[in-house]
Parts: sequence; C-alpha cells; structure tokens
Amino acid sequence: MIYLGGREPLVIPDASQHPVTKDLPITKSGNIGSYLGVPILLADGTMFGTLCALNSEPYDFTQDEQGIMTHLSKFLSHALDLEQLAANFQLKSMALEATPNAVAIVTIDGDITWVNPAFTELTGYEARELPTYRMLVPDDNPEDKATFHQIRTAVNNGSPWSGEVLTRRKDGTRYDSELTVTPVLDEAGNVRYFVSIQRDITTRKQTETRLHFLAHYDTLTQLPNRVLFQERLTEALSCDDQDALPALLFVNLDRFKNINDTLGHHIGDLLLIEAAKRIKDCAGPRAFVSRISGDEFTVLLPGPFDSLTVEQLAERLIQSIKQPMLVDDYELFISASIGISTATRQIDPDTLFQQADLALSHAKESGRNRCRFYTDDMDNSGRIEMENALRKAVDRGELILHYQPKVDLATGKMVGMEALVRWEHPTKGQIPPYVFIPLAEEIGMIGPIGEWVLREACRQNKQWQDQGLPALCVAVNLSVSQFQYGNIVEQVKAALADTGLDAEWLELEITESIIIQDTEKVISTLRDLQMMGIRIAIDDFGTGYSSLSYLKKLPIDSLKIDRSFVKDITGELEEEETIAKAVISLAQSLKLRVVAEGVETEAQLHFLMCQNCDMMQGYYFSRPLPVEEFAQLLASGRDLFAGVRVNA
Amino acid sequence: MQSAILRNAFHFHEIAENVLSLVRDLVGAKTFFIAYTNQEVFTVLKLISEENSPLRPDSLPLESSY
Repeated sequence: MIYLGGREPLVIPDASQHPVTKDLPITKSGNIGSYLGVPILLADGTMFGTLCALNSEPYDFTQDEQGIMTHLSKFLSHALDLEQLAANFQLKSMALEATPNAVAIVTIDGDITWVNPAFTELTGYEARELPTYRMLVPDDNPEDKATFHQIRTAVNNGSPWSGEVLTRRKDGTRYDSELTVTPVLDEAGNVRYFVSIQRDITTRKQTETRLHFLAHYDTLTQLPNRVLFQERLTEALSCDDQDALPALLFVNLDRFKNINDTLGHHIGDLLLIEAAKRIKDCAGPRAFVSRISGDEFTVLLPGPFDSLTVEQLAERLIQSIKQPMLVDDYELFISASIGISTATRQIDPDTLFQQADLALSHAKESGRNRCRFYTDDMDNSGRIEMENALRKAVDRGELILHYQPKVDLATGKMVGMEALVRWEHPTKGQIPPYVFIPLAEEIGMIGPIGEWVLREACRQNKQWQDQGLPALCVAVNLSVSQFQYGNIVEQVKAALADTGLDAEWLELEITESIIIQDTEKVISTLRDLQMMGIRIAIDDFGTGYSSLSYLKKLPIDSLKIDRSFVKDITGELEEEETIAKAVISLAQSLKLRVVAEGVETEAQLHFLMCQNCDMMQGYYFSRPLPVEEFAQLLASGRDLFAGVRVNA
Repeated sequence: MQSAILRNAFHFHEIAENVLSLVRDLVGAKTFFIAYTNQEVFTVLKLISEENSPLRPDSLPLESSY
C-alpha cells in the first residue's frame, strides 16, 4: 500500500528495494515496479489528490519527467481553482440576479454598467438603456441635492453610504427607496466602481405616514391631536426669544353634550368638523390649531403679539362659532368659551395648559360665550390634592377633636364643652378648620365628617364619664347638609345608642342658615331631638337672617352670641356693646340661656358678667384642648375665673 | 471534500483526461492516473494504462490503494 496523502512528490524507481513499498503485497505480486506521485495542491492549501505514474517494472524517472509531472499537477490545481472560482462567481451572480433588491454596478463617473432584474422592474430601465446615476437619484431640489452630494462624497472617499432617498423611475415618477452604496476599490486602492442597492420602501413609508397621521392627528376633524399639540407647545416654549413665546387659547364648545345627547353623535361629529373648520379659518396660518379631546380645541399663537391681538382673535373665534351651523338639515346654534394664557420665560407646558384651563373655567362660570385671560388669582393648585386627602382623612384617622370649655358665669365652673374638629395632615401638619370645612362642604364630605364628629364626641364624653370625671354636656355643631340630606334624628339616636351616652349630655348647635332652609321642617326635627332629651343651641346668633318671629317657636335651649359681637366689646365705647346687650336681653326675654363665644379679654368678661350672661367660652379661659389636656383640666375641677369674680 | 469540489468543477474531467494523455506522451511509464483519498477510501478519478494493471477508475478501500 502506498500512502498518497503526502504533500511532497514521491519517487520510487524500484519498489522492491524502496523501504515504503518493498514489503507491500502489490509489490510482491508484481503489480508495481516503479512509482512517481505528485500532490495536487489547491490555492488555499487544500490537498485535492495525486497525479501518479507507475510501471510494473523498475524505472528510473528522469528529472525532466519529474518536472513535467510537477507542472501538470499544478495545472490541474489551477484548473480546479478556476472551476471553484467560476462556480462561486456564478452562485453570487445568481444571488444578485434573484435578490428582490435593485442592484446596479456604477462607474465612478456615474455610468451604470450592470443591473439585476429587480432594478429593471423597480425603475423601468432595461439593461440596454441604462441611465446615469444622476438620472436615478435626482438632485433638483435642495434636499435631494444635499443627499446626492453626501453620496458622491462618500463614494469618492471610498466609504459606504446608506440612507433613504427619493428616487426617480424611467417614467419620471418618484418612489422612496432605502439605498446602500458601496465603493469597489481596485488593487491600487482607487475607487473604480460602486455598487448601488435599492429597496423600494414606498409601502413602508405610506404606512409610516398613515401611522404618524393616526398618532398625531384627529381623524374626525383632520386637525392635530393632543400628542402633536403637546409636542408643538413644548417646542414653542423652548424658544429662547422672549418675544416669540406663544399664547395659548383653550376653546371649549358650550353645552356641546346637549347636541350629542339630543341629536346623536353623528350630528355632534358633523358639528365638530364645522367648528374645527371655523376655528382654523379664524386662527389663520400662523396659529397652530388642535383638537385635544371631545369638544376641546387649542389655538397656539406664536409670538410676538400683544394682548389686544390675542383678545381680538378670541372674540373672532367666539363670533365665528356663534354663527348658525347648518348640519344635516339642522340649523344649530352653539357658543364657545375660551381661556387664554400667555407664556412667560421658563413656564412649562403643563402649567401653561393648566392656566388656560383655569381661565376657561372662569369663562364658563362667568356665563359662557366669552373669553378670559388667566390671572394669578385663578390659581388653585393643590386644591385637588387637598380634596383627595380630605376624602381619605376620616378613614385614615387624621381627624381629631379638641374640646373647649364652657364656663358658668355664676359659679366659675366648667359646665359644658364644645367639640371642635381638627385635621392633622400627615405632611402639612394641622390644617385650620376655616380651610377644610368649606372644602368639605363643597365636595360633599361635610356629612360624613359631621357624623364622625357626632359619634366621636359622644364616645369620648361617655369614656370620660366612665373614668369618673365630672359629667358635662358636649356640644356638637351640625351642618346644613346633615339636616338636608341625612336623617339627623336617626344619626343621633344611633350615635347615642352605640356609645351609650345619655341624651342629656349631648347638645347640638345649629346655625341660622339651617333654620332658614325650611323652617317648619327644621322645627319638627328639632322637636324630635328635644323629645329625646337633647339640648339645642343656635350658634353664631345674630349673623344670619332668621325671622325673630320663628325664634320663639324653635325648640331651643340656648343662644350663642357670635364672637364678632363679643369682639366689639372693649369697655371703652358703649355703642360697641349694643348688639351683645340686645342679644342677651332677647334671650333672657325668651327664657333662653345665653352663651358668649370668643371671650378673650377681662373687659369682655366683666361686661358679660354685668349683663348676666349665663355662660362663656373663649381663649380667656381656655383654648380648645386636645383630649388628654382637657381630661386633666376636667379632673382638676379648677375655677377658671376665680380671680375675676372677686373684681366683678 | 473532494466530492464537493468536483461537484462544481464541470470541466475538470475533460482537463484531467487531457493531462493524463500529455503525461503518457512525456513520461516513460505504462500506467497513469489521478486519484485522491477521502475518509479512508481511495478513489481513482482518471486512469490510462498500457499494461495489464489491476487499477480501475473506481473507489477502493485505502489498504488496496497505490
């Protein structure tokens, strides 16, 4: 056996003598006497096989013969290499022909020398009528010119370029293509050709354009939508030039919902289209008009402008919308309200928008069909946050009660207490009642809060009594809404039943505003409460407009003189004391007990004592106290004005 | 490997025959062939023999190779 895999020629003149072959069976059988083998090595070093010559007899191969064999083996190697190259080239050529991308080979001078079928299909140019590259990638507008220049520069520098270009077909029509240009260098490193590969992206571009439209425009009115509006607003506010800062007009159609509800959404939509057209026509080409939601439009007016110009524009918009709209045989009348905010340096888009929104709310509240400029006093930021916090305050246990003593002027002893609600906000600290009580009334939370106060005051009072502290009557304020919407009698019954407090230790304070709502009904309710053994007091007496004739019919036990009349008492001018005197006198005539609120000075105390006022409360004696402090005061049994009584 | 090379070498067989003819004319031997081995198999691709050689243009086990 002769191994043919060696990479060097093997010459065996006499196989029977050669160490490689002498013991082989084929030598011994006489099949091989001499041998010459030359490897066939390919260009990449791969050994393909061997070119061999042999005799059955010994033979001494000459140097020429060995040389011939070596040359011919190299010839075979080259032939194989060429075949490989040709096959490789053919494969790549077929790939180029088959690719859906339009491929062209272009000389550095811009002459196209070869194209694949996809190129012909895409551009309409046959292989025999190839255009110049300039015809293909036109440069007849500044943008195209810049692109063409970039391509040319890249090719000249031997660098590839890729990007999206608008390309021209043989028939002159244009299409979007994704183009890659790759320079082909010769052995000296010079660019002789470049390969241009184009992909038709017209469909993709159309889809992108459609998606962009859907994302940035309102399909009903064709106006920009909220997304695009916010982009433009942000862009406009990022301008460094103060004079170029925009004004924002927030336009809302008044009572548009009525149109939708009565005539249907189809008519509503047609009306919106007409309104959008009018707004756009009125606003003019400089303004950026958007529909940001249902019946809300914005007009972004770039600076410079003066406020008169903006106001005039707003008025024109209002007048335009106000004109009758003929929609699907309906003649519709609608008006618009507009809120206007003008941008200042460093204002952020959200704030500007909120300002315009606030101004719009004011325009609506002022009667609609008008415009309002934003002013600082419209700003109620933080209100929503406060509202949300207040809604959760009861459940989170953030409300607490303080208690202010009521002092009997005859004995100097504490004879009652008023429960006053406080809000301990976890981050803002204690929020004054004059801030959160009106808010609670406005957002409908005064009912739940009032009910909580009632229950908590009863519970605490009962607890103090159970602890052996002197029993006192606790006064709780009732709100109008508790009277109007809640069954106050049932609420009170439940509070007393649940806490175990006896009715005689509860007093309810109502204001004149409750009485004037529905006096007969109030009287009836108060009678029910009084029948239960509960005391009734009229709070802040003298500040309302209750009829004095009803006063004698009301089942009440006491009047509380409003603190404003007590405050007037300085001890210097007799006329300042007139109302307080009159109220005390009135109460005494009706056999009602009188409580003076807001007693802060000794002069006020002296005056009230002289007028035989029954009870007083105020900072002069004690401020409203937290539970623990009040309990200590109660336990001490202290005479709160012992020293004063001596002087009186 | 050789099979893969030959698959794309459409003209190589003709060239190989011509080369062997040339070798026959220029080298003083009686038998000429082009062969390769691959995976322990010895394959004679082209053969010219003017004597009674047992070689055939075929594939043989390596131990039977020349």
